[in-house]
Amino acid sequence: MIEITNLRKVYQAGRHEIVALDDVSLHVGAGEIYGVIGESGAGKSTLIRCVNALERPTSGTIVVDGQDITRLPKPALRRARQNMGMIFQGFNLLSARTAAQNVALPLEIMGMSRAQRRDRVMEMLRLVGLEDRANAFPARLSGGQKQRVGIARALAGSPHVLLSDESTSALDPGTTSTILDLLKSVNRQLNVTILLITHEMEVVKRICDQVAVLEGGRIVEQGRVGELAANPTSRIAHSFFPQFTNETRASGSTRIVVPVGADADLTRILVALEDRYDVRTNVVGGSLEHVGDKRQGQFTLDLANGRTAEAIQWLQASHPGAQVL
Amino acid sequence: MGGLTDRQWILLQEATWETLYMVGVATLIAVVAGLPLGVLLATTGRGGVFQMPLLYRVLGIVVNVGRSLPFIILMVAIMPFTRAVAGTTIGTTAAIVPLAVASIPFFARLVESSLLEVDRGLIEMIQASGGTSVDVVRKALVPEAVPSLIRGVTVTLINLIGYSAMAGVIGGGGLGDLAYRFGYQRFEGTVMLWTIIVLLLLVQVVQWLGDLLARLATRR
Repeated sequence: MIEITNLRKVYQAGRHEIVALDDVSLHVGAGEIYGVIGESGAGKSTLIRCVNALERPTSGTIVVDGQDITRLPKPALRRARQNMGMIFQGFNLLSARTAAQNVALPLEIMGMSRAQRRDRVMEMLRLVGLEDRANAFPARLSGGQKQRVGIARALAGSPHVLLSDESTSALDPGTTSTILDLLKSVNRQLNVTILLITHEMEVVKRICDQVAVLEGGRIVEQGRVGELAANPTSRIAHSFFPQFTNETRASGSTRIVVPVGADADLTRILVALEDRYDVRTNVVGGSLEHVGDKRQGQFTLDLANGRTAEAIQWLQASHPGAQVL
Repeated sequence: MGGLTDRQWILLQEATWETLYMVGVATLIAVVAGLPLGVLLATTGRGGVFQMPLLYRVLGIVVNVGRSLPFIILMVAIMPFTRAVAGTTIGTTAAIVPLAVASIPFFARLVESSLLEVDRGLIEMIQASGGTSVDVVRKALVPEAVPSLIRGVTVTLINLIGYSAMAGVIGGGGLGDLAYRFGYQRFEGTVMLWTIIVLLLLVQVVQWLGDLLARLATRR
């Protein structure tokens, strides 16, 4: 649905060149939720703003729904943008309009008749659970309600793509959680493809199918969130699970990091190590997390005594990705 | 009544109406012409939705020229223009011409600063929704600036009440003319005192009304 190829964006700051994006390529499949995570200044804002051409890339192509956004003339670009809803960190609601009138805005731009607009607006407000706040002005809405209006507005024109620019960064954790649930549910219900940027790992963990880690304008890691979470060497796994240094390891023991999938059970591993290999295991630490709809864990174990070498071989075979520190 | 003769009382009433008429019509013209001019100033500059640096610079110079002339000089300087428009340079209707000419650039600058204060995020939101630059102006910039624009109209009105007193001196009629003729030329302090009271009331009422409307337009 979104195909970004060799995207590069260079800003001219006086005599200096600032490379905001450097050779960024990513592919967002139809119906997916794709997260781009990075710290501020990593270039993620620039990236998402290039997708709907709020900024023009220096080079590279962005194909959305079969159209190369970087080459569209203005009128065609405006139509293409109507196929891409966008939600913002600061909500960007018009303060002089009610919730319903805000949701109606893209429909006005599309030239929809008043009667059709009214029906569609109420439908969208119902979708986000705000039908009783239709006539409230933004100043009377909470942050979470404002973002719901933003989502209703972004989806009013039935776009195929939803762009989310740090949409939960201004919200408290509880509200963030309900907004993420809402994004996930519109993704499933309406089959809308979502490209989101965030600096919060929680967002990636909760709703993203795929993720790209952006650092200094370059993608340093990308892939399916579940697969990366199951790979202890990935940056994603590093930030999902507690990490332990080798310093606390008792001499004579071997420290190993084991990814534990939904079907695996830590107890079963410990029992097997003891029964089959006579290994005494010390659990240094770890956790089990919800990653999307699945559960993924990662534990750090110290193995001592017994047939440690064989035990490690077995662990690495039965739990791909298990890694001796 | 109030130390005024019946005749002076009638003169005061007439003068008040003349001032209201001059200021009212001039403000109307200032708003009708100044609003689009202000929109152009706010949108043709660097980073504006209709970015046109040359036009922006030309408009800026024209507006600055209009604003840098003290009103009393502008009034005299544009007399030929006033005669061409109003047919005469004397009288209340003729006074409207310099008042409008002076307040158009004044109000335009107020409009410009009001529009520039609208959150840039809203402009991007309209663009991201597939809106045109005209949509940006019609759906975001102007509607969001309404409370601030109302305050701008209030300031313009009050400013014009002051200017209109000067217009009175060169034959425009109104309260300024009355105060000048009776207070300065005939040493009739009571008449002057009353014009001051009326002017004060006018300014107070205009400010109060403007504040009220601006508050009503702010959706909180």
